[in-house]
Amino acid sequence: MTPEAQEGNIFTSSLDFLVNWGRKNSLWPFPYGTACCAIEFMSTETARYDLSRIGSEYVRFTPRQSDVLLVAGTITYKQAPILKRIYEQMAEPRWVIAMGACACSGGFYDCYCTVPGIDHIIPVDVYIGGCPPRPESFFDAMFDLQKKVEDESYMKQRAERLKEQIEDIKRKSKECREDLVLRKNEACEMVSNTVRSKVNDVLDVFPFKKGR
Amino acid sequence: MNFFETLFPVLETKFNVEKDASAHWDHSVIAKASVLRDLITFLKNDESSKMEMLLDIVGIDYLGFQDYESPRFAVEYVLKSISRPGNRVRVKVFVSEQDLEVPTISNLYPIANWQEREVYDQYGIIFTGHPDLRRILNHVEFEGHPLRKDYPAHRRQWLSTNDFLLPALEKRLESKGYKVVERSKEVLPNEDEYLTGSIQE
Amino acid sequence: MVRQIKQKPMNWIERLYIFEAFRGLWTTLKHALRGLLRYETLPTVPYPEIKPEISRTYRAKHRLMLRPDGTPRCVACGMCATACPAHCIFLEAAPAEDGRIEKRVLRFDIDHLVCVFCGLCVEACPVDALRMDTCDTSYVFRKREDFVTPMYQLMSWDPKDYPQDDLQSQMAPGGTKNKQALDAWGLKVN
Repeated sequence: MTPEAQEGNIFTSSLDFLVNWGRKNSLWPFPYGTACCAIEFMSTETARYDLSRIGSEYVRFTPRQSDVLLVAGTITYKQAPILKRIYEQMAEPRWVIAMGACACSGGFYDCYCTVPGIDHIIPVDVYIGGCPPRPESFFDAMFDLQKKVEDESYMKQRAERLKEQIEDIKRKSKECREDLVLRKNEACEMVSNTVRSKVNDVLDVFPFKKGR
Repeated sequence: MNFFETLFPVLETKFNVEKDASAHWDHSVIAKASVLRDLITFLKNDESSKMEMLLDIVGIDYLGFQDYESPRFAVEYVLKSISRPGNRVRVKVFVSEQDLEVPTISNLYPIANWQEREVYDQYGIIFTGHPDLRRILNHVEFEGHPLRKDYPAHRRQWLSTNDFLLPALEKRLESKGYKVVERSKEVLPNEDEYLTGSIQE
Repeated sequence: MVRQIKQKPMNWIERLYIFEAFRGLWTTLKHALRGLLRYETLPTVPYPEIKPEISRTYRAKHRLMLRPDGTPRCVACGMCATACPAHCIFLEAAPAEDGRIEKRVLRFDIDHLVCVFCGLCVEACPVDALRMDTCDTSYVFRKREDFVTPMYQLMSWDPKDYPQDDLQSQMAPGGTKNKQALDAWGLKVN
C-alpha cells in the first residue's frame, strides 16, 4: 500500500465527494419495527411527511438492498440474535439508527428480558430519544446521518480495508506455513514409525539370529 | 340464589375441597392435586356448573409472602360458564417445592396446552401428562424461571442463537399435504459454523 | 345479492390505447407540475423549513422553574425521581443556607434517552418546579452521553417564550401570580 493512496488529493477527494453525494441522497432504510415507534416511522412514509423528499425513496424489507437499519421498538434477548444476524446480512456501507427509548436504552423496561440498548449488540450511529419520537425527530436523525455520511472518506476506508486484508493474508499464510512444517514433521514421524513397525514384523516372521 | 352456594356442598362431598378464605370478590376453592382432573371434568360436564371455558391458568409464587409458610407455589384455574352467564369459579392447587407436579388438563381444554407451557416456563411447575412441555415465551437457552421470586430481577442472560423452529414448520407443512424433500439441520451454537454469527457480551 | 356490472365496450379510439396511455400520463404530469409550481397546495410539510405547531400542553422537554431571585424552585424532595418509572432523574440535595427552605438542589440531571415523557414527575412535584412545556420535541444525538441534560440547561430557558398572560405557565400554583408564593418571598402582590 503506497502512502499516496491514503492522503487526499484532487482525484480522491472529488471521488469521495461524488460517492458520498450518491450515498447520502439514497439512504434506503430497513425498518426493524417491533413496537409503537414503528407506527411513527410509518407516518413518515405518508404524504404529509413524505420520506422520499430526502432520497429515502423506498423502504426495503430485505437487508441486502438497504443502507440504514432502523431499529424501532423494544429488543428482547430472544430478538437479539435475529437483529445481529440481520445487521450482518446488510451490505456495507451500513448505518444504524436506534429509534425510541426502548431501542436506545431499554427505556423503563428494566427486567430480565429486555436488552438495555441495542449498542450492546451492534454499533449505532444516531440515537433518537422520545417515547415514541415524533416523525420530525426521525427526519432530524436522517439529516444528521447525511452529515455523517458526508464526513466519511470512501478512499480512506478502502485503503484501510485493503491494509487489513493484506495483513490478514500475511497472517494466514504464516499460519499455513507453520502448520505445513508441523504436518511435514508429523508425516515423517508417522512414516518412520510405520516402517520401523513393518521391519519389526518382518523380523518377527523371519527370526534372524541376533548374533549375526 | 347464588350458584356457588348450591355447587360448593356437592364439591365438598365429592372432592373434599375447601373454600379459599383469601378470595373476597369471587368464588374460589382449594383442591388437592390428586383430584384436580376429576374436579375439572366434573365442573366442565356437570349440569349444575357447565364451565365450558378456561379463562386462564395462573402460577403463584408465595416466597416472602406475609404471614405465609408452605407450600411455596400455587396453580390457579379460572373457569367460566358460557351457557350460564356470570358463573365463574377459581380452582386453586397448592404445589410444594419438593414435588412440583400437577396433572395436566390439556385434553379437557385445548387452550390449556399453551397456558400450562407458560406456567412451566415462568415458574418451573411440571404438568404431568402434558403432550409437549417446552418453554413458550423464553428462549431454549434460558436458565431458571424468571417469575419466581428468587430470580434476581436484574439478571440478564445473553443468548447465542435464535430458536430453531424449522422442524415445527416442516411438521405443519406435512400435515397440510406437502412433501418435505430435505430435512433442515440445526447448527448448534458451539459449532464452528455458527461462531461467526454469535453474540458476544 | 350479486350485482353484475357490465363493462362498456371500448370504441376504436380507446382500442388504439395510445391516446388512453397519454391520458393516464397527463394525470401523472398534472401532479408533477403541481409539485413544481404550486408546492404550497400539496399536503406535504417541508419539515426543516416549516416546523410543526406544537401545543403548550404537549409533553416535551423539561424545564426547571425559577424563584424570583433566580435559584431553582426545586426543594430536592426527590418526589419526581421516586415517581419516575424509567429512573431517569438523578438529583442530589444539600442543606440550604436560606431559612425558608430546608434543602436546595445541587445536581438535577434528566437522561432524555431513558425518559418516556409520561409527565409523572411534573404531577408529583409539590412546588411546581418542573414543567414540560418547552415545545422542544426532537432529541437526536450520536452519543448516549449527550442525552443527559444537566441542571443549568434545564434552567436556561428564555422568559420571553413564556409570557405573563400565558395561563398554562403563570396561573399554575407557584406561578408569579400566585399570592401565597409571592407572600412567602416578600414580594408585592398585584
